[in-house]
Amino acid sequence: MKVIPITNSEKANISIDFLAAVAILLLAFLFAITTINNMMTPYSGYTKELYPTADRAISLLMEDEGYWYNISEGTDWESEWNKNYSNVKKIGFLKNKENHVLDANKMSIFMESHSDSTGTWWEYPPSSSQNSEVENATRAMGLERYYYYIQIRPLDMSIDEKADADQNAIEMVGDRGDSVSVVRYGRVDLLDFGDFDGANILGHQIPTKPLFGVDKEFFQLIKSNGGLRFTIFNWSVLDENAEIQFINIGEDLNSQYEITIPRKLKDDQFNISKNNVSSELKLSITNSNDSVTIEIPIETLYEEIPNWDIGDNIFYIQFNVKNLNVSDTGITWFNSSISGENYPVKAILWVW
Amino acid sequence: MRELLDDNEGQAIPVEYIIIFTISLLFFGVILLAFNMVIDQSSSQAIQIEMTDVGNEISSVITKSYLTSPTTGINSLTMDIPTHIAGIGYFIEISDESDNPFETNVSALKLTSMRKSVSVFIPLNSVEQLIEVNGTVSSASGKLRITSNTTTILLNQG
Repeated sequence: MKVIPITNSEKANISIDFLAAVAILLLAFLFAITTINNMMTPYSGYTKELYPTADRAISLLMEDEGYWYNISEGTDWESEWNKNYSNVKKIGFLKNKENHVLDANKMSIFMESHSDSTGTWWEYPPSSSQNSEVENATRAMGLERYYYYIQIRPLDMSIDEKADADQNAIEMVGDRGDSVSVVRYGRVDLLDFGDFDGANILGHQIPTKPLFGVDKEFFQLIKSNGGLRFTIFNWSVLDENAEIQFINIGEDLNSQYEITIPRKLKDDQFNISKNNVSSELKLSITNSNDSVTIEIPIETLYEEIPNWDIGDNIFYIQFNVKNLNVSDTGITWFNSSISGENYPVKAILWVW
Repeated sequence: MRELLDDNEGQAIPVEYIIIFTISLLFFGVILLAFNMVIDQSSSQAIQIEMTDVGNEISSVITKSYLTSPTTGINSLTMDIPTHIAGIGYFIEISDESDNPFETNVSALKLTSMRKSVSVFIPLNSVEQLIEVNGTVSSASGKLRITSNTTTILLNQG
């Protein structure tokens, strides 16, 4: 093809090469412009707002009591959570504004808890959560637009538990590029049913039947703990054949402090251990120093007393025993054994 | 029929000038349009990023205002905000619940640029569920005052 220089030609021709060059230059320019724009797009608002959002969300979790509203209202949203998630408007873990500690019940009601001798740690969302529960928890934590994972750990948690918590965090968060984590520190109040002194147990006398009463004040604690767990030590042992024979549960008493319609718990409805060794009934108590721990899961309570947690109910647990003594006739109330534990925790929220 | 590539005779020089002028005009026109497009998109992008930053700062102060509200009296916090973002003023308001494109039935902090049609929605992280949040202000004064009591948080011109 013959090339005609533009400046020298006087033959009034336009080279096809010139046209091609202009077209290629335009295409290259447009391509460059489009590419530069696309390169700028990833630096959009979404990733920049992750950190401040996570910061606000965890501040509200750690420094606010939360709130629920239906016909009535209050900050004890944990009592409303299992009735209707959508009534809970805001989740907050603070016990109250005056007492600046976190309430373990508020965390346990929807977070998955893991316990060992050094304390309890919590995580959310666990893999077993229902969609509607997760959706409402996400809304009530103000994280609707985002994916997130939260852990609350004791500062002095054991190496094993720390490894488990780390592993769960790795599985949930992984190596996502656009994720942020925010940390807050606080103290948590963890209530437990504690231990009963066997020398002061009340119940029915002749035949001896130790009787324990639980009133509605502790229903929320039972729910958040996933059941009722208590220990009896310092038994009044009459002779070497002493034993616990079976355990009844029921709602009403007669004047002699016996359950009127007793429901005998089956072996698979509770756990019993003596001196930290798992056992079964009948369980011999050979020594007054024997420490017996009974654990009644929440499922058992619902099976035997379906409406145990509704209204102003009280329910009772009664032992049938042999050659063990009670100190007097009456009811051994659980509020006498409540003990509190207060320890520092670290809350970590990942958002992506 | 003339052969396009071989025939180089007999054309008028003014026609060549007109054609070259037209092509040059088109060329520079396209470049100008593309350049304007880049500037415009970059400007919108910069406004969006900067408004997201400012909005998050405001939302964080709203959260602090809520958390530090006294049981009696008013809590008042003043913060500095940029008067212009990319040379353009903007409005700060609380959006209607239906406006928020990211969350259903949840109001959010909304920043709207005065000239460019750019709006950003910053989550209030459920503070709006606990307490009423209201107010519309412009960036003109460079100050934003957030007052709160136990029932309301109000955005005011600082």
